[in-house]
Amino acid sequence: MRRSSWRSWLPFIFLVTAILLLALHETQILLPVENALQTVFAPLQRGAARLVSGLGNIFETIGETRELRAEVEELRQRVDALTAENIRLREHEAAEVQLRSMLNFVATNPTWTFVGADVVGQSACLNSPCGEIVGYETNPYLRYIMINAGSADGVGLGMPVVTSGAVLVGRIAEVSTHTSKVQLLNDTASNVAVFLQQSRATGLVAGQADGSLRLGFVPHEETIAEGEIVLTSGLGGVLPRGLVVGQVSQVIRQDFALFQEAVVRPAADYQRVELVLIITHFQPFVEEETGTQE
Amino acid sequence: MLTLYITLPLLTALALVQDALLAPVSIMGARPDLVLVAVAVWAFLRGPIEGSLWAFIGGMILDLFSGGPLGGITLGLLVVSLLVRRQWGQELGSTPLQLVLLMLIACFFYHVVLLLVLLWAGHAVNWSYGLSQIAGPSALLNAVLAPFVYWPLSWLDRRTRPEGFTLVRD
Repeated sequence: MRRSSWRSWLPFIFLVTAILLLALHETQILLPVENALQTVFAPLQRGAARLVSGLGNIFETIGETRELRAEVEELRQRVDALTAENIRLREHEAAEVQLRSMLNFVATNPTWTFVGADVVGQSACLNSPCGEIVGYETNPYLRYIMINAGSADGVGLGMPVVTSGAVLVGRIAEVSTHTSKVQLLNDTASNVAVFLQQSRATGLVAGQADGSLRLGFVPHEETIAEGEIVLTSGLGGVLPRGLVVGQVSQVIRQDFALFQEAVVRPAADYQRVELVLIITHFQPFVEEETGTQE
Repeated sequence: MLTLYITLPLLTALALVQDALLAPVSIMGARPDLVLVAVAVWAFLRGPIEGSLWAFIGGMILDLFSGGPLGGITLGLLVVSLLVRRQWGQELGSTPLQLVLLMLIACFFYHVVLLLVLLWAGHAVNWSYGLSQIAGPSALLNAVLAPFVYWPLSWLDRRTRPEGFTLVRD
């Protein structure tokens, strides 16, 4: 009887604990505990990601084999081998293109420092510490990815994360010892100061609930055109200047509004990002006294 | 009560499947929430006490994988575990139909709690978009998934139900 009455309190205890956790999370008191739990779960998460990736490759190969078996049964085994090889080479080729692009980016910014990281379970080692892990956001209203570089690799809060050269993906939002969570540009809490390459108009790119990017706070008198490249302005010093955010796909002008807006097509498909670089050090942009850009 | 030796690995496995395999899936905005469905079905089978235990453990693991505030998903799942009752919708007759109806309601409340937590944490929340484009389609998808999750969990329920356990619900 006593045990039964104690058990009946469990839902209430869990509810109060969850609310307490929410409150304590905001005060950052739980950070060491969260880091410890992350350390426990990160290998499991990495293993699951590898397993899923491996199973995906197996299913893909099986699908191709069935088609080939119907056509040329006697060549089945050879085709299997070639298909597997082909997949492997394609992945190598795609990785090489990305790595070359990142290498160029690193070479063109010799004063910055970087950390390489992998988002979907492939090794991405340049000369920087990197690894392999993937974590997708489990809350449908948020847009984060988990990468396998953490404070042990020199990653810190707010650091910019880029891919495919100078394409900005997001910023580091949470760091534990060996993993970090990246807040993608299209998260609703993400805001980035930008300028447009041709018109030089400035504004703020914010993530929208539907996953798109919206450029706002562009003065009404500025003339912006569809197709313009959107780059980070570097104002505030939290991001380097000149990272690619996207391209203007639609301009929204309303006569009565103080500012005009634009829909921005992201320069990268955030769901397909595999390799990223974290810029651990850069020279912040300093606006000249005249207000002109460098 | 189902022992923690089973509950913890089972929910960890479900959360990992959701994180690695199902989280990137989006069918017209709908996302399959395996842990949510499992919690609702277990609460349906075993009542709110065991349901809340599953909600707490499953929610905590999902929260660790999320960039959102720790406890947000846990709170949503706890609300679901406390809402789901076998008595509800009994007049509908068949269990699958009951489950579908319960999942629709549970999923709606789960998403409302997620949005409220994000609002509290300072995120910009678009209620109309969230409820119509994410919560609605997800509720439909998870309602369809519920009977498929029910079969293995009802088997587990039969296998692990203690001798002399009554069918009287909390």
